Amino acid sequence: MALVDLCRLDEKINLKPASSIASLENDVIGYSQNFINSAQLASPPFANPIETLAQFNSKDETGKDIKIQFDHGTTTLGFRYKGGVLLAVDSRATGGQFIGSQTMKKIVEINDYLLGCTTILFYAFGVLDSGYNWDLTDEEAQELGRRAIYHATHRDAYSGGIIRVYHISDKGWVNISNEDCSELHYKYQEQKGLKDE
Amino acid sequence: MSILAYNGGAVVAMKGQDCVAIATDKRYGIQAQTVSTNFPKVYQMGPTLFVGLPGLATDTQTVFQRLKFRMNLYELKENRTMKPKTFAAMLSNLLYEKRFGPYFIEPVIAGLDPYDNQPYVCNMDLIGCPNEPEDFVVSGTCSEQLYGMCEALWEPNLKPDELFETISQALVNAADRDAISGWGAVVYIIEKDKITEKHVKTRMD
Repeated sequence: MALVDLCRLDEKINLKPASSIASLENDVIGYSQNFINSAQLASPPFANPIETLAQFNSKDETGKDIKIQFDHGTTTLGFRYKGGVLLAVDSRATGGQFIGSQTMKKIVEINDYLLGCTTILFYAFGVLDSGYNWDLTDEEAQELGRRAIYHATHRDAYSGGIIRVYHISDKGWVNISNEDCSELHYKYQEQKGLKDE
Repeated sequence: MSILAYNGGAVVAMKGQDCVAIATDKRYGIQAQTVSTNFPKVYQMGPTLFVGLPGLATDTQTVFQRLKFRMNLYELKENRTMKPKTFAAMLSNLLYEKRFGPYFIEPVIAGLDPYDNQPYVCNMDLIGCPNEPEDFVVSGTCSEQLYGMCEALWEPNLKPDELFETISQALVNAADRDAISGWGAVVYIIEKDKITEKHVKTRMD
């Protein structure tokens, strides 16, 4: 073996069995399957995902309850209007009632024209419905989205942190603002002429 | 979820030099939904005696009323103000009476002894087991965070203004790591013949 290494024979001659090369190629194909066929989805690495996944959320091998607390009560919103699409989100991440982060990026910038997020829970709808119409100007739309999220963060314990507003038009997306809920709260209070105790 | 965390809220009390402080958040919620931001959980029970009753809000109010009733009876009968230590014993007794159907609150007591002005802090569990340390006590849904803040910030012989800064920072920063505490805070600094009530601005999310 040492002689083979010394002569660097393996750089010139492939000494590995043919089957291992095949498995490498299979791996490459396996990890990049939808490069070849973009409609293809990876299958789960186990049988019967509904039953198998459900086990993770019930009991462990000692019979103790496993508690996976999913991230619930985050606030995101999006709406269409004449100027394009407006997207606004909060940035709080909680595990149970514990606040893990106040600065999470819940919008994923996929490319210049695509943003991704997961949408859950809607305290924001009340504000959105009362202020929405198709002919909003860009500034009005941004402020509506921002306000809707702000009111949701004030009311909902599991939303908060930074409010990020994005605008998408035919030219692609633009990050309009990233403002702290706390600063917005006291700004809006001042606008209403209210002094907080 | 524990019924103690149904409404959310936090209370902390600290000893200083010839003074004590007690602080509470102002949130009243139903699980994730914030209903009111003007619900302090601390009540003044005597000239230099305060009690904080974080936990289930309905029991906060009931226990406060029953405490006030028993205290009035005591003071009418004895014709003297109640010492903080006596108050703690009375509250402990009131809670243990309901040993098998408890009130879901974990009280915090802070005060100066009306006779020798000694600072006193105490907390107890929901069935009235008392704990009387020499530094600080915490209670509520962010008690772990409060312990961390207090262990880091508290030191002996703090003056009233230093004590105010310490207790405010402890409460505000602990509540900022808890989804169901915060939305404003009230701090009381108790001195021999002066009570200072301060409302602290906090994050409102």
